[in-house]
Amino acid sequence: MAHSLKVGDAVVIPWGIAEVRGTVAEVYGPANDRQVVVALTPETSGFVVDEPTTVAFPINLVRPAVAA
Amino acid sequence: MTGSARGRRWGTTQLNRSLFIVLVAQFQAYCRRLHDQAIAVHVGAAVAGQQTLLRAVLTQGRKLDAQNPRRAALGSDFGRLGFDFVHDLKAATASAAAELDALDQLIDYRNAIGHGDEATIASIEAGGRIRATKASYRSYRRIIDRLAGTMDDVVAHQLSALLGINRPW
Repeated sequence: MAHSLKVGDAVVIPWGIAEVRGTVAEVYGPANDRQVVVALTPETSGFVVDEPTTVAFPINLVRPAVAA
Repeated sequence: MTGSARGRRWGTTQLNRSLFIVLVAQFQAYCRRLHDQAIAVHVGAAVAGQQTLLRAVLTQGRKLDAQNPRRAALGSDFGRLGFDFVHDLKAATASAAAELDALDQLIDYRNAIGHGDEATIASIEAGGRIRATKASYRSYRRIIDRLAGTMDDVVAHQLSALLGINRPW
């Protein structure tokens, strides 16, 4: 499922013992080691960040967000 | 413009300029891959409860995800791994300082090409160190190849020293 991620998709990533929501900003890397740059903003990411930023995770740790 | 016959090829400036764009793109991809692999080593050395948080801390706001791979971006991103990356690069080889200077000049040139800024392109070329020729491209590619090799070695050595593990590569 995660391997079909594309720019703009809403996703969930691990954040310590919790998870936060973000948006896919980029998917890169070789097929056997795809990485995802996830954009986080205070509003969409539960205020775990205080200004817009990005983090990068292996694609297997990123899952699509499901609508609440 | 093409063919195997000897002699000058005309109208190659645009093609040669594109080589510099590709060179920087390839170097940026290499840098991110090296950084990703170094993070994987760091995360692998952490206890389970720290791993995802450590990964987030090491990549949050990573300059290589949004900016050119200049010396400052490399120093900022690789410095999070726990060592003074630019200092260690300069200490590793006698040519690294000059290679870092060349890297920043290459990126200035790439940006001027990418933005169609003919005045800046002319200004940089007037400096006499870089031009839209195949020979100049090959010269910069050799410099960047050497720098990449040194980066690879420095990161592996420093991770080994910092984490008390065998060299990861």
